[in-house]
Amino acid sequence: MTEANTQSVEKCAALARLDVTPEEARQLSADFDRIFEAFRGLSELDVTDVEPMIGAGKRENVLREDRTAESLATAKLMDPAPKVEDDLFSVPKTVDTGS
Amino acid sequence: MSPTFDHDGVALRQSVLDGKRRVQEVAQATLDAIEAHADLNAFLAIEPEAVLARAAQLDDSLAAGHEPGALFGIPVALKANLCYEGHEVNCGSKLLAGYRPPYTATVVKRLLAAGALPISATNMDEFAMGSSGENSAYGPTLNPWAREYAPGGSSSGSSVAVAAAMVPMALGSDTGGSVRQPASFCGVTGFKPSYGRVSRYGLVAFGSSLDQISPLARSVRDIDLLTTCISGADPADSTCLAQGPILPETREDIRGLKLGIPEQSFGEGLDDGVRARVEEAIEALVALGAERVPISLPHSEHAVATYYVVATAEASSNLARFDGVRFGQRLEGDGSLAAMMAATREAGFGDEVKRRILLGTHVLSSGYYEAWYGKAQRVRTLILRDFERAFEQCDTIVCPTSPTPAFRFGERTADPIAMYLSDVLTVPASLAGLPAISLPAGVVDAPTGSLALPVGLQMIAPALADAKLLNVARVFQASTDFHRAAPPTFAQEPCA
Repeated sequence: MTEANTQSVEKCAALARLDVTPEEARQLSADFDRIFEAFRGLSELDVTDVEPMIGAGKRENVLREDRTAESLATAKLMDPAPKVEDDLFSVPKTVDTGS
Repeated sequence: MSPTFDHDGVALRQSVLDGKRRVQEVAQATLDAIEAHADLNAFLAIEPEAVLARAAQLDDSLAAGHEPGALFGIPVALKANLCYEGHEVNCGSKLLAGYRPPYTATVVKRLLAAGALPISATNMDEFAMGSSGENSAYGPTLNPWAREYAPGGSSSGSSVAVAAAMVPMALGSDTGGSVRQPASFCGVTGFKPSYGRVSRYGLVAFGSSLDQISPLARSVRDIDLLTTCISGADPADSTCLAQGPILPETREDIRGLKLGIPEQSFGEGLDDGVRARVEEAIEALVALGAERVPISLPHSEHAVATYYVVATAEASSNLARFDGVRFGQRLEGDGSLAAMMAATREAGFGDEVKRRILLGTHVLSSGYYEAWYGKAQRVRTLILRDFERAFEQCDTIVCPTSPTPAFRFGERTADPIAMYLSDVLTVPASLAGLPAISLPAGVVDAPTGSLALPVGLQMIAPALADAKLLNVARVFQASTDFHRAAPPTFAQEPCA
């Protein structure tokens, strides 16, 4: 039994907000079969009592002074946006009001 | 015999301060070199007027008696994932075509403060995902040693810009080897600092626990200069350690230095020519008084799998921001928000980026998280412990940077695993957060024709021992000439 099939690829695609055609889903499913087969050794390794490594490098909290400073100007941040209305990012409607 | 280069950033800066040339002449010569080598496709979206305007400002400031910074007048190419306000930063992707960031990365601000001449932006595998340059949405960069061979990736353009003497220095990013491996394929020096020594603020994120902005140059002398400039604490990046910049250590005597030779790095699958060149390079260090110590990194056989689980998981999260809302290209889809995002991402991302996002989504999804991502995080600990145990017996680990020299375009694109295995020798240091450098170590014959392809020697040091690592690398280059070799078809003149 394979880990990834076209249904699981399509489910991941929906989670990741990616459109995939049926042909792409088939190809990706075949890719993932090969990839997870190659990763089998990892999945079979015994890691009992081994702590996970979260991040890399020295684990220390890096703090900074709690003081007010200028942020990036809103207009500048909005400038690269594809669609702006009244200083807001404009997107298709998300709530169905029935109207 | 190959022609040799004999210029570097340090010498270039001195020639400007000595009055032998103005920064505007350096800038024009750099732009001319980039145009002359446009066929290599190393650069995307250059702004010549901005470069010349900055050069004029630098000349004026010198004439006015202002103190010149440590990188005064030196052209430094920037990979297309480093934010530089007002310049196009497209990460090698169609999704960010035309995107101009509203802010500048900390490392670029530091270059500007030091008087450098940043040249944005170099070609790269899309969103830093690739090992050959073939995943760029703008066509691959060509290897100046042999144009039908890949220059490596993902920092293809930065590596080639230095190798072809368009610029003396460049910045790339290294997540699993993306500066070291192209440095090895192009015959230049590429250094990945310890994780946390260089701010990632303004680097478009791929794998946040792995990414490090990394310098490329022809020599360790230039790498030292660039590293000191860009490294050190940054309040804008809480993963950047509260330490000062990496300062060079100069210890010319390496007698007694213990070189760890990992058995797993010299096993089956290592190209015979690469093995021979790396053995010769190690002998050069032994001739200076270093000692070989056999070591073992037993979990390194799982490093590629561990890396591709962790990195793709982090990428699936980091690339979620590219949804057509705040920046980048946008397709409307069928009118719903979800459809707009899906259509935008489908059209904007290339195949490898989509593959990795989906892989990362799968390993983080309910029912698979512990089996894959949780497991990979624990194996990452085992890989780090292997290194810590090894460093109880040795000072510096030496091995090849890549099991093969550059491969032909198209040779590994059909099978993702074949491409992922290109990184087998670079990902362990990335997973462990250790400093690592690739140094030119001679050439081998290409499989066909009469071409020569460079080979890289990799050195790895304990966490935060960046200065010690750079010292050993500098001593190696002081007694060898490999880093002075140039691609055979390139002229001997310096870039400016």
